[in-house]
Amino acid sequence: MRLEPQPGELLDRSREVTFRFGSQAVRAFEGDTFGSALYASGRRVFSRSFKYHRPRGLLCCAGHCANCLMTVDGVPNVRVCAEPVRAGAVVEGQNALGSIDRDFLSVVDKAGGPFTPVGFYYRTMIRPRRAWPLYEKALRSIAGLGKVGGESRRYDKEHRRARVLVLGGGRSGREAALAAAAEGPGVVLVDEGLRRIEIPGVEVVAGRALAIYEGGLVPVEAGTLLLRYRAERIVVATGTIEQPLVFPGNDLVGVLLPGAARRLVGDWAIKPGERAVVIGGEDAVESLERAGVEIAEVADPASLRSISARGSKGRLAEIELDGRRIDCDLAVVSGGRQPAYSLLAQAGARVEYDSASRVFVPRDLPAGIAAVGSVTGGGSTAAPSYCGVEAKGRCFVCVCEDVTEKDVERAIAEGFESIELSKRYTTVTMGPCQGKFCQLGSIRLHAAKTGADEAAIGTTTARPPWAPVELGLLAGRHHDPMRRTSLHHRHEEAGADMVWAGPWQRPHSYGDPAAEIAAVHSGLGVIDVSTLGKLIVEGPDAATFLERLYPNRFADLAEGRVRYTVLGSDGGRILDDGTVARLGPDLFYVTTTSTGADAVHEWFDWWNAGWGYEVDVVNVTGALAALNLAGPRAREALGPLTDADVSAEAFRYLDAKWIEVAGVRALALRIGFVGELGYELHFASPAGEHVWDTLIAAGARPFGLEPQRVLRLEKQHVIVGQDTDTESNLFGAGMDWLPKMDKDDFVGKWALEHADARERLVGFRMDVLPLEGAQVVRDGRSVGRVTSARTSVAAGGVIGLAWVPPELAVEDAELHIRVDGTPQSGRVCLRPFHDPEGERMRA
Amino acid sequence: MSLGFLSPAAHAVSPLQRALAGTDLVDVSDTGKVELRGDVAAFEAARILRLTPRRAIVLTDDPEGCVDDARAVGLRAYDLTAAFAGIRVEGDELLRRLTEVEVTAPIAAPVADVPALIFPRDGGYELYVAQELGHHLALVVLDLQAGLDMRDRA
Repeated sequence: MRLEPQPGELLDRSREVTFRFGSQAVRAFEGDTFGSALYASGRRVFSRSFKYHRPRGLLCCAGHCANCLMTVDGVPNVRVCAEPVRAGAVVEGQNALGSIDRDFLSVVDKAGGPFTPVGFYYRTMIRPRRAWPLYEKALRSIAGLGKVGGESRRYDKEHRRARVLVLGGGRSGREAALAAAAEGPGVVLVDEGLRRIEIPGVEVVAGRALAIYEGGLVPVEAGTLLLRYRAERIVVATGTIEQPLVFPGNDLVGVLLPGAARRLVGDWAIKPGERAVVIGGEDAVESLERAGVEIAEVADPASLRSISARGSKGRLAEIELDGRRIDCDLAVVSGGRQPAYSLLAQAGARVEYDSASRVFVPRDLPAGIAAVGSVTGGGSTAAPSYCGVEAKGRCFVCVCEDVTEKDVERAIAEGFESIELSKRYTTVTMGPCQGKFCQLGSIRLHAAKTGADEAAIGTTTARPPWAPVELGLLAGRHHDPMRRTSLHHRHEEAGADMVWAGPWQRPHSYGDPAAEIAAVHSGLGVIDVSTLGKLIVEGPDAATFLERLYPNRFADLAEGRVRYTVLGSDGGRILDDGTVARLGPDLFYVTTTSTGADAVHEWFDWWNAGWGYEVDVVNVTGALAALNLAGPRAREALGPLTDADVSAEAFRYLDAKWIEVAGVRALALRIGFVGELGYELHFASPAGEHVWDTLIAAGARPFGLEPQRVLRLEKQHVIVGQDTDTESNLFGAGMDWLPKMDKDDFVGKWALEHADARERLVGFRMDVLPLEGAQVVRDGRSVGRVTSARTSVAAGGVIGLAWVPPELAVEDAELHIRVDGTPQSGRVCLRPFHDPEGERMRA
Repeated sequence: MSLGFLSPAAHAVSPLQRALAGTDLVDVSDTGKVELRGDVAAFEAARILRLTPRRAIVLTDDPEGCVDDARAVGLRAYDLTAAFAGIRVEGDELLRRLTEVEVTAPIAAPVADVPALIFPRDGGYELYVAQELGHHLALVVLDLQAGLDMRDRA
């Protein structure tokens, strides 16, 4: 039943809204919340408590506590007291076995108390260990609040800026916003209240500030939109939070905070109950009387020796004050007001106890942050939190987590005297209210039990978020940056199985890796290698720069020639590999591994920041597509597509030449990673599909990463990052020929001079295929590992690369590799498995 | 030796163009982009982003001419037109969902979680990312625009 229209009520009685609670249709008005509408419909039980499954009703009507958490349209843990009604919405109770009116798990409340003391989960259900799966299943079905399910919601993020950001739309906040607006534009006021606020020159945002981070970053929850404000100045006007009292039965349905009573009457025209006892909530008396509630008693908690409440089926029926029993269905109780300082504390403000007002207040605000109004502590006072805890019945310090006074007492007795440790052990302040209603109470309890005063005990660390927030909102939209070459769609059209290769999507194969390998060996294949990093290094000191950066020599690299190289760290470890082509006296073209371009570019710039050579490094990775045309027919196929002379004499192995392919200017490198006659063509990426199509028309068969890995393994060509790790150096990797130790200096030279080859990378053959990563074993102990292994038709069996002790790095030495748990015999092979003289790629 | 192989010869539909097919978004990838190295302070251009005292990016309709002009005054210049894919977006709201920075002038900053160049133009913004991330940018822009459309419909 609704009261007559109240002055300033939020309801628009001309607009009815209907939603469903279970099977019941609930009528509401525009301006109602789901909570107010359900209360008006007669519902008093809104939830079941976290641990004991006790019935819980509205407590704060401000969206702070966990008492009204329900599932709305499939979204769990919605604070229905603050969620505006929506027509057609479906509201359901949660955290109950059965219903919130008849919850079979409430047996925990009746019988479980002695078996579920604070921290019980650290001590029980440990033995027998084999029973853990059963315990786990049971615990998982009981634990938590609400069930995530149904359709996922869409969450977005938006970045915004403000000159002045005011947090809180109470009187002080509005005045601060108005004053700031007088100084200029860019003023934003964030308010989570339901009343519409309009201030000239101020943008008002309906939302909830979650934190204050460095740099004036304030995330604001605005429904399913996360607003990330960057503010030059922040004004915190979050006011105070009414504190509950701790007494036996303080969680019964019908125990309200004064603000809740006022809002039910004033905002939604609802009579909260029939007969009320008011304890410390005198400011609610006028509202209650206006609503026709009989006031049975008004008491000052400071003058009371004991309070206790009793009820039936979880609902309040009686209050006992200093031994006097008073029948009532409503208790409006308040332990005073505590400044809502958490956002300020997160920002770096100091929080200290004011013994005069008996509350914690913020001090020493950081630069750029101001506080106005009651959050500063002015006018706030709090009563003693505890009344009559000796009486029978549970006294809840924390209603969110069902932490009782006895729980905290037990924790202190077990040695958790520090408020921070006690918090972790009991979980007090760790529930959905995040300490808004239990921080002060738990500190007071610690003070009473330990003899220390509140100032010495202090508060727990204030951490974001200040209010519960959906993880989806923090995560926002999921966008995985996926790098695609300009040929991506050609690969898909050709039926490629695309896989991640670092940040790239690349073809694993086009359906028949074996046939693709055979095509490269016996005919013509083409692979998209646009993913290779590509750097232009240009300047008068370019050669000197590369000479000092790489372990091999470049000063003697002739124009039009290309050289394989490995980039090493100053510790002599292998970082990356690739090729360097000299295109002019001061101009080089460097390729890196597919995942290495950015890191190599940074590495170049980092070293030259110290060396100061006149050289520029430009990353042209995305500008250029690259195709490797490989196979015995490569020359024959390329010839008709270009006017360049690609004969063996004119275009030698390791030549770099400018040619035109299908009318596209390209840099062609004659190199052979896959061990066959090959031309790596680099050209502007927009022409990628055109050149690809031309090569396919010329008879080239596309091959993917998997065939490439087999082909290079046949040649024992190393893949950096797969066959090497952060400890690998050139000597261990069998590339003793590469570093020119007679050079004056190069990055990593000293380390290589002092390197010891504790391991060697060798090829091996065996009869069974080991997993990559399999152990090389000797006398039952691991002495090495397999980095690559495949079955190769051309090599006639299983081949691979493995790190082994130096004494095993001998041609035809026997080694043992664990396969399916059993050591299997293999033989070391130090030369390429296929075409060991390299005649095919030099053809 | 010429680096003409950097200059694009558009023979095909790019991944970005495929992603934008059937949408209202405008592909501005063809805009010429030239990277300058050297003492770039004195080099003037209508649309220039000075990344460091010795590095700048110029947007131009004539990248080859820009390269010649820059080389003529002693700078090193590279036609990176093909290195960047670009999309024009309208409206501050969409931009605020794409990037954290406030854009009043050309700036290099993350957009859609990847490095990007942002050039304001005629009330909108041109966003350029590495060519291989053009498809990603298109998908993100379309997705975030869809979010705004949903909000407007609600």
